[in-house]
Amino acid sequence: MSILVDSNTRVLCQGITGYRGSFFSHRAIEYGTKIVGGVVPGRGGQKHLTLPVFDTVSEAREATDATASVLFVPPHAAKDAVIEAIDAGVELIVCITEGIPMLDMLRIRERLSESDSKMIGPNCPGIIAPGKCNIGIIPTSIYQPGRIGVISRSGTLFYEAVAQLCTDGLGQSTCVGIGADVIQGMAFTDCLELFRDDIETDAVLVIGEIGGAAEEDAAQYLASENFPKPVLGYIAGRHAPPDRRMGHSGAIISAGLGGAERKVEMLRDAGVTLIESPVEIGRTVRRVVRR
Amino acid sequence: MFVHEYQAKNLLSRYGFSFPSGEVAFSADEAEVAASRIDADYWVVKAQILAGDRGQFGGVKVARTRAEVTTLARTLLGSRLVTPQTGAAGLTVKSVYIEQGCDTDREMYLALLLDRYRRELILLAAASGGSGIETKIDDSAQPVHRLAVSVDAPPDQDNLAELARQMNLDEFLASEFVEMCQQMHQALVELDALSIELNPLAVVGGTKLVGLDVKMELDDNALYRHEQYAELLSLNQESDRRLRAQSGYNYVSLHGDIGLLVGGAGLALATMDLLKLNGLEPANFLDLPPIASRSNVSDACETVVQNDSIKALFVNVVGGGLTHCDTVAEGLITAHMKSKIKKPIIVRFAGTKKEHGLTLLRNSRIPFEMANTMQDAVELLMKIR
Repeated sequence: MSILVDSNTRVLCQGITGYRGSFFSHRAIEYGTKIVGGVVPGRGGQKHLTLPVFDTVSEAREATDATASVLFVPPHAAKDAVIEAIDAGVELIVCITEGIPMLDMLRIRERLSESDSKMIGPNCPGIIAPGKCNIGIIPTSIYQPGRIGVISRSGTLFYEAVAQLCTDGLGQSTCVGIGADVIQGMAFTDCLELFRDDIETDAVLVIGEIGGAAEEDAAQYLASENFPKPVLGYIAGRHAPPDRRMGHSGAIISAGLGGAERKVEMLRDAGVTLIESPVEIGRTVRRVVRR
Repeated sequence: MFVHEYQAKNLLSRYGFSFPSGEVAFSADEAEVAASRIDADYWVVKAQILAGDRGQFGGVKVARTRAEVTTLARTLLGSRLVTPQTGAAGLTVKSVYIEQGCDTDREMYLALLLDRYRRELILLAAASGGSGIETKIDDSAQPVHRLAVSVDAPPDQDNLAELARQMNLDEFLASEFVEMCQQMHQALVELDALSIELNPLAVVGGTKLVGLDVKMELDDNALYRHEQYAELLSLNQESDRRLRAQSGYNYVSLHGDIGLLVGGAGLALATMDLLKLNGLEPANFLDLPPIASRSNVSDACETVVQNDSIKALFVNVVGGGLTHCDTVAEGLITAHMKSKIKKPIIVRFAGTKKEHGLTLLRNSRIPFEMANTMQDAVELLMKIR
């Protein structure tokens, strides 16, 4: 078992004929991911990477029984592409696109909340269940199958953390790179809920950073849930200089949220093992898991 | 992107907001002309900087005569203004806004913005406005009222009417207030703004709601669908501390002596944390764009080493999905050939194309120092110090 994806996940690629869509679909296929087709408006009926290309997501769904879709579309087309996937009933949408206007993201969130679809991203590395399925741009060579669940906002720090886990002999059940944008699809809490019930996950590593309130939300969830598995956390940016302000609205809405110290404190109070140094991630997880 | 008060008022004026009449001036001469065109009993000369709290820190002055407008403009232009929101270095005043003076009956606070924490649009309103409003939130006598609104549906009339009641407005002003909230919503959505803050929002002459100051932030991601923002961008670029160069990397200068060049914001933050934990001080924050080319890396490297106070440069890259170690190596070699970097350069590569990247560095005969892990790199840096 893994969360969200497994070796049977059937994946569409929206934007498969573009440079990145093509490159990463090819890599995913090499990894053993079941990429079953592509969607590019106006290119229906063609073949790309030996896969069928469709004009719309719903046609592609009908023909391929795909349950997931990965998006490599430009920012200005992203809102419509995601909403098309939601309307076609795609269960898992992985949006790699960077730079989607914020109001478009709010519109996407409104639609997601009315649907059963889940979205990872945007501006994220994607998701990997090592040895089973890889959707997105994650450098697969680092990852090894195992029993640690990983959730990260950052991309490169995600790879660093997983590399440390592997060095310390710890493989991963599923790793989700949720992205660090202000408005996202799945947050830490959504992934933690799934890891809670995953029998192949023994412990969860959360890689957070300053800004937003995803870590605070996760801490609240963990505290209320009496979470049954060890959770470890690293928060990047504890020594970052304060961001510039303009006007007062930012300070009003934040009401103390977003800063590293508050995140660390709330997670610690919720029973999370906090990792102080970014070079101690692998070692600390091993110590906690082997205990 | 934040915009100046005069730019915000200009963008918002076609949505029906009322503002005192005003004109921007980039020189004392222009200020004199502006004052001659604005009919008023007195004038306000306002420094245009991309930060708030100007009023209490000398950035907003009242002129009783037109001659005084010119004198005040001359003093403000070119001066450095330091407020709690500018940082210690302050910001240089490059333009002033000359505005009709305006006596108020009462001052309130009204904002519509993206709440980054709850991920929704909210209207914020308070019965009294002004600076320091955020400290009044917990004060039950001066509550800040919140109303979540949707992007595409206009705010609910009844909810807005209730908000107006909470602001203690009479019937006439309440209906003006409701209309203003609707205009604000329309403006935010059409302009792709992330926040519009009217503070203070004043009652003038008993019957009129006038925005005395406006703070507005536009969404950088939406610039492509607003051609008119290109000009704002070029006008405001220089005054932005966060210098986003053409090549797309994020650079923030800090006060330490270790130059940093890191791939990815999360790893860049973690690298800064690691330095601090070991008693080292970063000279800058820099994260490469997600898809970095050789010239991006080379430009970024030159930006970092231009800072004379650095003792060493630390390059920390985990080759990932889009940027590989060999590209970074090529960029470093290019930068070195162009500007003959004399400072020690510690390189830590991991992930995709690590070996190829290291081979390129070794073959370049430039004395890069390689570190296998972040910890090894920090130990090398501590020796240099």
